[in-house]
Amino acid sequence: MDEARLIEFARQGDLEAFNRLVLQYQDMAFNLAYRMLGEDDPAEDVTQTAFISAYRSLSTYRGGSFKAWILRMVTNACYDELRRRKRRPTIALEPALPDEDGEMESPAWMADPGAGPEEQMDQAELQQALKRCIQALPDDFRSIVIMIDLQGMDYLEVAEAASCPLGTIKSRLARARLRLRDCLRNFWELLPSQFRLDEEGKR
Amino acid sequence: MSVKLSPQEWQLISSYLDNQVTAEEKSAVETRLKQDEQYHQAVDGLQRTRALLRSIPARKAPRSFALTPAMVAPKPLSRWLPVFNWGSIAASAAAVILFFATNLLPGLSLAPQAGAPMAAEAPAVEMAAPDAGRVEESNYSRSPIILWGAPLAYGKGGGGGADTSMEKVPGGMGGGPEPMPTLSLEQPAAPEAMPTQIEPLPGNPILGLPDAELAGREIDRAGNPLPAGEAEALRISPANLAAAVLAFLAVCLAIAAFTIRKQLRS
Repeated sequence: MDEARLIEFARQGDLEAFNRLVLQYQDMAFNLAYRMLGEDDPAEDVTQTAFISAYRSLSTYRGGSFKAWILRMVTNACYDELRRRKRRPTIALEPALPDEDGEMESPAWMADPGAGPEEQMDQAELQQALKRCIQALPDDFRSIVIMIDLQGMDYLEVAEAASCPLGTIKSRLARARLRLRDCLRNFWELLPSQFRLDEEGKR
Repeated sequence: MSVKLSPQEWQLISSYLDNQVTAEEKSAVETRLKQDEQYHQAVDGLQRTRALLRSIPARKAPRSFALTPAMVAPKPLSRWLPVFNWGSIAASAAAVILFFATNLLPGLSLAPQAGAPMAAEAPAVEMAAPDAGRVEESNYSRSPIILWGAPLAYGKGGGGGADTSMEKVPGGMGGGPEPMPTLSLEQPAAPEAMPTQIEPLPGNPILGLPDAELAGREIDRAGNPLPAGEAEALRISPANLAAAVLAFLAVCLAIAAFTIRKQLRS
């Protein structure tokens, strides 16, 4: 069954049809929430909340990219969570130091299968550095750079998901990339050689 | 060495890397890339950052986020939300319409015609009340506070006594700027309100009590009966009272709707 028919059935109250759409987009939705919030549990909660909101708001879907519409729900739920955190700041119980940080998401990414313990440690540290730099971005820059560079979405879809004009998307993306470049310079020794700038290697 | 470019130039480079530029823009970037070493470095730096971000693999969802019927079942309170929302809107609209129809549209007025001008003057009297010494004689003489046969309704709009009838007392709203001296055996009037010398009125031993033919009528400080229109104007019209009740209802419903919405979100 194609997506349009699933959406139509879901709008008529068919939860099974909607759940097939959920399964189709849940990885992307969770990934966006995780990158926006930086933690697993809140990302899971926000993803679930976003799907519930999406089901209840199906009547407001007016066509266009369903993926963009779902991701807008996730982005809005993330903004709500971030606002809630600002209103009620909490202190994390997890260790703050990177070498004691137990939260290491899939340290095998970018890994050479034959890498030794030292290289694996470097990769985990790079992962943490990337995470910090992404988290340091303003919320609306972060959502754009996640959707375009990490999710591989095109500009028009992101404009639809973020409810912003195309020019705003381009501007925010450029500024986000610049900030990330500057932030990652602090961790240049962790970067694989193909990602290092020439000038950094000459320091 | 960091490259100095304008935000527009950085945006053009960023869009160029994603192939989101026009043919002219692409040509301009590529021409400059060949000629300007610093520009080349800028493009290269942003390109590597972009490549690094794109090399981060997407994470898989740790569990299924499929919905169950229980998750999407409407919460009991949510049924009341539209009732409160629309009730609040309807009550606000009714209050506004009633108020305007009563006070601003004389042709459609539900209140006595004389009410509008006097209603406008009432706040001025209220404002003047705390500073009785500055009250002009003309206003002073118009202050309609003296009633015979019922307790006096004076003093900053404080209203009449417990046994004051709405038929005869203008709700205490038009209280005069200065209390009328009274004589009481139990509680003498305040010294500053007492006249320095009390002279009994001819034919009537009680100070300030008007003639018998004025019994039950509203009079001014000079002892003259108020015109019927002015006396009517001092009363709160039923339409204004209804508008106030509706406005209060609208506020209550809006607060209830806001509270429910907050609970549903939490």
